[in-house]
Amino acid sequence: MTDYLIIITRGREDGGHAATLGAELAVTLQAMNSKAAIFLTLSGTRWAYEGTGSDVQVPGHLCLEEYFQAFLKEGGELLVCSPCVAAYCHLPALGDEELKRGLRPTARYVGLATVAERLMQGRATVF
Amino acid sequence: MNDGQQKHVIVLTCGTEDGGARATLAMALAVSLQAMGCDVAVYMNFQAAIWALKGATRSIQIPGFDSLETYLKLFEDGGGKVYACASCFEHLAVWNQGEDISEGGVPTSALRDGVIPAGVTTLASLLAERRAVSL
Repeated sequence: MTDYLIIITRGREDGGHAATLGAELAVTLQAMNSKAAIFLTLSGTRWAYEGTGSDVQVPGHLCLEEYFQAFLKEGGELLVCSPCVAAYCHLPALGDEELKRGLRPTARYVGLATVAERLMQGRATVF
Repeated sequence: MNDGQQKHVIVLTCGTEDGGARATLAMALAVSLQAMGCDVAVYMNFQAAIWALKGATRSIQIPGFDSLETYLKLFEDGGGKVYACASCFEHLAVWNQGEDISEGGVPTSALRDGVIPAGVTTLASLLAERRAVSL
């Protein structure tokens, strides 16, 4: 089984298009019996919080929130850039209410050493 | 060089348009891979070619990370190779007229020490022999 690491670097600045494609690819890889992990970094870190994808609906795709829920339900690993949280998740665009909801289940903060380790084990795609 | 050593190439395409965030992440990742014993090369393409110029990283400091210059210096000191798209410099136009221009049209005096001006053939070679991540 091939390991894949999907790195999502974009938040809402593109309307959630990159995040939607990244999450959809992760779910697709899972459906093809591949092991996929998602690393949320830079402004993509915001998607680590529950409900943040609820209002993102790119035409032709499911709601971003659905992809994340499906990904986690299938045991997908959600890695969150720990140094990015302070820089990107306290912006006015991300309200207190969203932050209070907390991280998605099983999501965990990691540093770049963890990402480097994953890169050594498998393949990576950046969105 | 260790035969079992993993080889990676990080292809960076983003310049100053995001404040240096992607460049910082790319170089931090490059240094992390180096620290884990990997042979790492960085190829600066398109707008990212600007980071190959002296002084370009000045004042780039993304919250939560060290400065971009710190990562680049660590990477260079660790023996990492930095390649920069030679033809991409033409679009940057940040050097003075009359600078020392190499055959490839690159103002060599404006480049960081150790940066290797390169073309698509070099990139293709790097991609053929290494695991690649594009940022």
